[in-house]
Order: sequence, then structure tokens, then C-alpha cells
Amino acid sequence: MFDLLALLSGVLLSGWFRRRYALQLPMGLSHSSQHHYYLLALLLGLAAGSTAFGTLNLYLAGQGGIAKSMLGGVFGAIVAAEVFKHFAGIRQSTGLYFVPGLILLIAVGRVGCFLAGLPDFTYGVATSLPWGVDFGDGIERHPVQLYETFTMLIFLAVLLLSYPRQPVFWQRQGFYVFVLVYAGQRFAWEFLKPYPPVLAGLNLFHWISLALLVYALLMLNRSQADVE
Amino acid sequence: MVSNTYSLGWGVIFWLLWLAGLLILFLFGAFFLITAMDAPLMAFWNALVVLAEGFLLFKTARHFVRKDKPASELLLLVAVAAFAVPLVASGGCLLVDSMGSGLRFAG
Repeated sequence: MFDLLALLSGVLLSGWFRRRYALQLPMGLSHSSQHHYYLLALLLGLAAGSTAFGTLNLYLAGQGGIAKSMLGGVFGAIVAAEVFKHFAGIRQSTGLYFVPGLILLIAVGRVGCFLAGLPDFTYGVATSLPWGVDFGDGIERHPVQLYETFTMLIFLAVLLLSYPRQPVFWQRQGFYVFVLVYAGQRFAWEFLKPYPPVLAGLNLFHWISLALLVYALLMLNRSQADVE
Repeated sequence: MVSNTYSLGWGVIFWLLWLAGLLILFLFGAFFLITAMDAPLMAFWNALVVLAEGFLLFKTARHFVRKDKPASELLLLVAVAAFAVPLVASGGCLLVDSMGSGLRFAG
């Protein structure tokens, strides 16, 4: 049920944010049909990335089945959006429109992951820290899902508090700042997860996070150059 | 009422996605029957998915016949039925309980 709650809260927050600051369409999209195809590209990228990387991680960990991944979904959606923008000739950032909802979706969704416990395979490695959580196997583990929730909620507070004072900055670069924060914190939390390394001691999601960090830095640099 | 034109190729893609949505509806209909007696919460969830999927499929088919929606919007709606609904519907730990090694978050 947390999936539905996460989705609903994300959609509602994004809707409120758009109405509150009169954001009609994602920045750079001028026609409604362009908007529909943009959303379609995002949806396909999200579904493909989420399922492909979630399942690949499960396979690398030696487990069967099909899985989903939030990071994989964000990565797939960004790739799809950038491909769409390339063919549509759009240069500016279009993603701020989704950021508040996406943050809340991740924050609430991770509470669901935390409550699901061991079957979700999103738990952390063993810890002796006082806030370690026993998910039922007798081992105190890092509640890494909640680390992500708290980080996302702090970022959401920063966005909502500073947007009224610096709307132009957030509209131009807000999405890339979000990617930077999201990928940065995921890269850190991945060291606390039991996923197998694939290359240079880093797991699959480390590498996806690194790719997103590079993307965010390059795009921040480019958008800053466009401003100057 | 505005009448839109849909090309043959676009129509084929639309109906392929619509059929994928219909398969999802049948799949979750089967989950509903399997879970109806033993797991009422999951049965309720599966029923919600069937209702949502059914609503979207009915709406998109009606718009296609009436030609009263732009092709881009209709394609988006049917893609929601084919991809977004099952993605949300199979989330978290719910399907693991009914399918053993089913869809779940793993990252």
C-alpha cells in the first residue's frame, strides 16, 4: 500500500507545486502534444530502467525473480528525457516540474521498503550502532531505507523554502541539483548495502550513481555557462 | 466536437499496447481469484488494479472510436495502462507473497 501512498503523495505535491508557482508545462515544452510524448518517453524510460536494473541487481546477488529499482527508474527516465530533448531540440532543463513529487515518492516509498523488511532486499548490512534494526533474522542492520527517506525530506525542505527566493535558479538548475543530491546520497548508502561488487569493489548502483553524478555536474556546468 | 485522424501505423501500436493492458487486467484478475479467500487485503489491491486497468482500457477504446482525443494523449493513456499501472501494481512486497519470486524492490 506504500507504493500507492508514495505515488499519490508525489502526484499531489507536484500538482500543488505547479499550481502554487504557476508552472504550466515542463520548462522548454511548448505544445501539449510535445508534452504528451515527453511524458511517454519518461514513462517508458522509467519502466525499462527500473525493471532492468532491479532485476540485474537481483541476478548479480544470485537471487531469482524480477525486481524494480528506484535508482534504475530515475536513470532510465533521465536517459529517455535527454534522448527526447535531443530530437526535439530542447536545450534547457525540463525536470523541475517533477522534482517535488519525485522526492516525496522516494521518501514515502522507502518507508514502505523499511516496513517490508527482509523480502524487499533494500536493507543495510549489519551494524553495532544503537539505531540498528532487526528485520527478523536476529541481525541488527543499518536502516538504510530511512537514511534515504530523511535525506530526501531534508532536500525537499530546502527546495520548498528556497524556491520562492530563487525561482530562476531552481527552474534552470533545480533538477540537476536534485540528481546530484539523490545520486550522491545513494552512492554513500550503497556502501551500507549487501549488494555484490561488479567492478573495482563497487556494486551496480554505485556505478549508476556515479554516472548520474557525472551527468548532473556536466549539466550544471552547461546550464551555468548558458546563463553567463 | 473535434475529430482527430489516426494513421494506420499509430493505430497498430495503440491496439498492441491496449492488448498488453488487457493481459495485465486478466493477470491481476487471476491474482484476485487466487487471493480472494486467503488474503483479503491483497485481493482488495488486486481488485483495485483490475478496476483501474479496466477504466483506462474502456476510456482509451472509447476515445479511439470517437476520435475525440489527440493521438499523443491517447498513446500516453494507453501506455499508462500497459506500463505504469502494472509497475505500480506489482510494487513493494505485495506480489512476493502471492508469486514466490515475484516483482519487488531490490535497490
